[in-house]
Amino acid sequence: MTGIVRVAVLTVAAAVGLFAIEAEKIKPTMRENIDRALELLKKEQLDTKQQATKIYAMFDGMFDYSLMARLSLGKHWSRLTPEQQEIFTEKFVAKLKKSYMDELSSYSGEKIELKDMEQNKSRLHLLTHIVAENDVYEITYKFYRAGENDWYIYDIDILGVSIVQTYRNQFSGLLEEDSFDKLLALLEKHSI
Amino acid sequence: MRCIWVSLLLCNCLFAASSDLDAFVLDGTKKSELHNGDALMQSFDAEFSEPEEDFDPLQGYNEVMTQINDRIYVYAFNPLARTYKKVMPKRVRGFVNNFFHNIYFPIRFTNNAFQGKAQNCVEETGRFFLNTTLGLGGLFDPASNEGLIRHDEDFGQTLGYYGVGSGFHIVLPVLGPSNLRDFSASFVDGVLSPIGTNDDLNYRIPESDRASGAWQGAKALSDYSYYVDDYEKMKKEAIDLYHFYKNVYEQRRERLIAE
Repeated sequence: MTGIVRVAVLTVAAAVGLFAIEAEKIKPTMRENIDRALELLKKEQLDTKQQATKIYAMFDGMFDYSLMARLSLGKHWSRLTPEQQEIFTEKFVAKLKKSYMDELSSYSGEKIELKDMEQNKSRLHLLTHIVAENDVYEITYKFYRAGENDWYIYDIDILGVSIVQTYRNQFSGLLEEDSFDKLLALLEKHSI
Repeated sequence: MRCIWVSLLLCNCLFAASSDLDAFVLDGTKKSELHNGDALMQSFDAEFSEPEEDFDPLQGYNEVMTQINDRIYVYAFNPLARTYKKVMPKRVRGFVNNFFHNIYFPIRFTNNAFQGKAQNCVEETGRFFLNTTLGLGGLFDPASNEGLIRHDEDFGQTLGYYGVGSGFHIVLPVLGPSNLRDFSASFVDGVLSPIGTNDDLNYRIPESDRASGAWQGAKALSDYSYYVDDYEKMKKEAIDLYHFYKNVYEQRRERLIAE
């Protein structure tokens, strides 16, 4: 990436409050955010929606939502018009957030342990363990490098299952038989 | 070209600043538009698979069976498992679960051995003897407290370990998602099962095939009682039930094979 573009990107980032993190800071930042999120979840005076809004504010900047949207469509992405891409991204992000909120509302005091960062080719994987009563659930946050040392989450593996890949398969299956509008309608239906 | 990018970015910046609500969509769009067509996007292509290439000859049947199974779970198995969970004290449910886990030792041991996982075999054997004796016939699990952890392996995983591909996807009635490899392999595990229909086994518990069915039903109920809430939770995630379950199953199996 050239210098000017980088400056521009950083300016934008500052303007909207999103922060790509540096590799060394991924783990401490995640630890801090997760701890703050868990603290929030314990505050009973807030309802799930309020909790979720506050938690999104902490994590939003770490996710490259629109890359996630694009990856989940696979090769169908480039077949859409820019307007369709935009509307898809919007609905997809709403669905992601809905899923996240559902997850939160089922949280019942499990401990979250951050394991080591692993380098996987050009990606960084942060392995975390959710320690439940009888079981340990493995969640991997996958980061890619957007700039010199700017990292964003582009996918999450839950027990080895990539959420982007599951969306990719579902969307592809739907688009084989149905129209793009049907897909949007379904996304919307599942985001309520 | 560079100027275009910069002005585009600055435009977005103004937009984003003017509307907090849309900020996450807009900023994200910028980021990945930067990568349009470049090597980075290609590296993602290598990381995720294109589903159209899947060979799915049973798709029509699979989709119907997925819906039927879902009805069976929602209207029969979920209420049954919830009732079992409610009626049975947690401790007792734990005993039942431990007991079934313990008697499945031959399947785990054999498949760990097939895969040359000697350390796992040693630990599984240790677990079996400790839990069968001190654990009163497998009702308790003192082995876990001794740091001997379980190593679940089945013959589908063994085949996968030796590079056998999954084959096409099959949704089994009641049992749910499977594939050609795992479905075929389940018969091999069935031969070793202490509650299966193989009467040549000297450690087989049921005395008839009918009793075997009852035992297997009981085990299924015990197993499922730990996942009944996950079923509803997972289902909520799905936008298309068949492709969702299918992909989650295949990805999860790949992962278990790699472990």
